[in-house]
Amino acid sequence: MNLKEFIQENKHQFDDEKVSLDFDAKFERKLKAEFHQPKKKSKLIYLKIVSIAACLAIVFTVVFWQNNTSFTHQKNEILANLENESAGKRLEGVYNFSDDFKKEDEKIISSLLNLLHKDENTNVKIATIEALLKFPKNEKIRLNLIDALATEKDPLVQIKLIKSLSFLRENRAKKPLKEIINNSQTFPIVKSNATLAMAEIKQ
Amino acid sequence: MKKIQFIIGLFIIASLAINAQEKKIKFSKGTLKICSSKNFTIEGHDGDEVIIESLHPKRNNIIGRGYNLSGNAVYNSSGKSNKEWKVDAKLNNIQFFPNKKSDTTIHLNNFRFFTNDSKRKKGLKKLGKNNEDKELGIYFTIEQKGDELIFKDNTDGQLVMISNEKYNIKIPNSLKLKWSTEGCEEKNTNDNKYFFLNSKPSSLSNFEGEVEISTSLNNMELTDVTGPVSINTIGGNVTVNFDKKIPKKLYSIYTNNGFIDITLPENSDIIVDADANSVFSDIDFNVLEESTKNDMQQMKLKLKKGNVKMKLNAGLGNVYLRKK
Repeated sequence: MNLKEFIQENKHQFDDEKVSLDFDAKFERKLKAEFHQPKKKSKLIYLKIVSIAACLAIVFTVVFWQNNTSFTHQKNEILANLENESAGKRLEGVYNFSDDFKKEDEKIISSLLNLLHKDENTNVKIATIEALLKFPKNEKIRLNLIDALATEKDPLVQIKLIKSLSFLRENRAKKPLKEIINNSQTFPIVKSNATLAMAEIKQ
Repeated sequence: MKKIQFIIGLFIIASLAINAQEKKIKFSKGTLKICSSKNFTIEGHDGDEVIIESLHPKRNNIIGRGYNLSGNAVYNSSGKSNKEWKVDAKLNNIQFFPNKKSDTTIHLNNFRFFTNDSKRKKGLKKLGKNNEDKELGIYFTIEQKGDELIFKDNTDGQLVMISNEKYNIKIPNSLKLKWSTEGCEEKNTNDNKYFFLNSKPSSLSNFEGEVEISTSLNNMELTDVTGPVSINTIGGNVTVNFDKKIPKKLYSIYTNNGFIDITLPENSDIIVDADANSVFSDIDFNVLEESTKNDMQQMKLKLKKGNVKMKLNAGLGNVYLRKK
């Protein structure tokens, strides 16, 4: 039997009609790839947009949050300084508030009002009055300044209060002013300032 | 001849130096409170002791009842009797100068003088703890309370005094200095008529701790004090010099009608808020703001980044800013 005969006889064995399993899998993969490709692409773009949006959102919140924390940080620092036992630190707190912070924050203002009545350092008190004067419309501040004038004993602070209330044209300051003018214990220089303020308020 | 003079001069200086007496107190943490209107020259140092040195002659022989007399004092008695009399503590004699043709009888209502035999006690010390300081020529009380060391005047009398008392005090840089020339009780208005008047300003130099100064009329001179500093005065003048140092921490000065005179190097890193009748300077400042209100000048000035705040309020007085 020659080779030709043998091939012809066993033709069906040579000719593998069945597609190999391997090919099947390959085909299927290819098919899947072909069919699902466009779907995957659109999903990717969608994801990209979402992620960019998310990033932006994160950036914004971080910036906002940081802003917010730096704001509260600044506020807390000022509040801590205002309560420090060193007069230098308290002064720093007051000056930082009036130079940089500048917002009408209730907590800080009540802390400042506390200094106005109780601090034992003249410089702190005067700086506090200057800081409070930035909010001339605040009724609480006005009332506290009038109260302080009635009780203050330090001549320099008295002069500062008198000038401030005259600047605010505060009519209700007349009573403490009169008391200061009539008090024999008052320093002459305070008296002359009070008399001047009295005349200015009356105008 | 000149040489001899020079040598004599040296001897005089040397003997003066020997005469200077010191009191040392170990105190390096806390606050030094000075409640006295006397003349002090205070200097910072790196040690841990407060060193007091009296630079005036010791009071020897005069005891004034109810009053502290010190050194040379000239009083003009007011009222009817036109007497002017002089007390010279150093020489231990009292001279009376009748002004006009009038009787020479002198009424000393409040004073009683004792002449002690000064020779007899030579080489001896008056005993008692209070007298230790007097022996050193220190005529104020020294008290330690917790973390405070307090120097206080004896305020028995109510009188304005002209005094030649002068003290040199060295204090550790680690201390906080609270200096009030009106006594440390609440400044109770006009009541406190007692204070010492000195034409020479009290001074503070080379100090790195925190400083609080409060005075009504005394002049103050600061040299190389880096801060934080707060000074307030009604009529006193404040002079600040930066010679070898630059301002490092907050300066806050308020005066109602004195002047504020500051000399500083141009490489200082400061932001100045000056409120005054007028502001004068020869420094090339970066002017941030300026305004005039009721004839008062307000300036906001900057050098370099403006790291250290200087708040100067001279009220009716002027502010001078000089280049070193």
